[in-house]
Amino acid sequence: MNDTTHSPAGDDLEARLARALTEREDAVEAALDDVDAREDDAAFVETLRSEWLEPAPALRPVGRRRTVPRWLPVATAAAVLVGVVTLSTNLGGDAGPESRIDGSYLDVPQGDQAAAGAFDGTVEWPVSFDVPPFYDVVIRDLDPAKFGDDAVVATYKAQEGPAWTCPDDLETQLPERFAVELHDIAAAPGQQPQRLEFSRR
Amino acid sequence: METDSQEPPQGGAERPQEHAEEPAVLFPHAAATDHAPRPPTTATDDALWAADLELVQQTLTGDRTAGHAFVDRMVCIPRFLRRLDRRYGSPLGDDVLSDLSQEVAARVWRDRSRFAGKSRLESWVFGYARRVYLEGLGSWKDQSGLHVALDEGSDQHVDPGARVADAVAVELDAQAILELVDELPARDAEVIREKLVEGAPFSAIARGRGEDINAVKTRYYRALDRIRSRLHDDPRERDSQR
Repeated sequence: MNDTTHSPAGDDLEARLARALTEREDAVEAALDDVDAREDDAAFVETLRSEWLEPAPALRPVGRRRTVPRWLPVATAAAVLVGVVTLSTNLGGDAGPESRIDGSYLDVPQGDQAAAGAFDGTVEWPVSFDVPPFYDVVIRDLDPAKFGDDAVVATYKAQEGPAWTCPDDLETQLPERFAVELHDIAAAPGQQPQRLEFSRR
Repeated sequence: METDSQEPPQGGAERPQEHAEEPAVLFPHAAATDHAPRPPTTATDDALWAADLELVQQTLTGDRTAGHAFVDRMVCIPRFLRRLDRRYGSPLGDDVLSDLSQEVAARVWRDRSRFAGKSRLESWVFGYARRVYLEGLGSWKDQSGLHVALDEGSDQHVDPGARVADAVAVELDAQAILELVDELPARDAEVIREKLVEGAPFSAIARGRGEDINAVKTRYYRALDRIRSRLHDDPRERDSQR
């Protein structure tokens, strides 16, 4: 008796199953045996290695960044930089707002913050970031009231990169204090997003 | 990824016609019983599956060594896609396949916590490769105008679109079936595989597993019934029967 063709229900399910399983095993065996190997396969793997395994660069605004001299009075700065948001920073996401370096106008990271790749300075609207592949951008209200329990203002799905720019239409919605978070879409459990906090002036 | 904006490769729309009289070329496995039985499953397979599961779980803890090993295994992705593409006469071309490879990789990396260790890692990845390939093929088919032939449905036409549609239907069927097999308890899935891929008789399966032959038969047919009922619940299956 040919068991492989017997089916009590009289349908072709066994044949379909056999075909699907056999096809998959053939494909896997061929892949493992390098039957269809090509040089650019190695390049593909190296790309994945850099995207998945290299630590994401510190979240920093790019372009449109404006340095303000340390000696410039705050009031003057506010008058000059119309439409500017002042940046303070909090890398790692697990430090509270009390750790922010608020009100500083240093454009170059200093000390421990520099080592952590943190940025402290002033950035001009619209703010842009380098966003690696496989990361989502989340805008979160730091004084949650109108955005619900999770305080999420907006979420932008993983981009191909290299840069993500906060869209113009978001400007009117942005609260006084907000955070831009970079979420690894394949984050390990408990892994915190990178995060930069802003307060608008 | 922007496969929708990809131009079909030159001559891509015509290629399936080259095989218009050779549908078997598209599906060399159309008759499963044509295949020589595979070597029987050994305890090593179970160990490999467990090792793959452990590897994936280690990547979830951020283990870099495991991460590198996982990445090395992803070399199968472009190979799977090229293999799938060849069945259709290679309509998508290297550039599109390269984009699709990235898409498969992104989904695999995102979903790796779902890998349950019921197969080799590559077998699990193959499901993603097929799904993404079919999406890419669908975009190519729409762009190349083959949907016109499909919509007209006339026997007078040289109808590569219909052949692609038929081929896609078979691929989707295989995909749906494999997803259901992978949902089975591991012991049931192993019996299905030994029976249908290796062509082992129940008596040999029972002997190899140290189980009663009636218990093996019951498990086999119960697993088939489960797959069958789930397929009938699947909208893809209902669509295919219209």
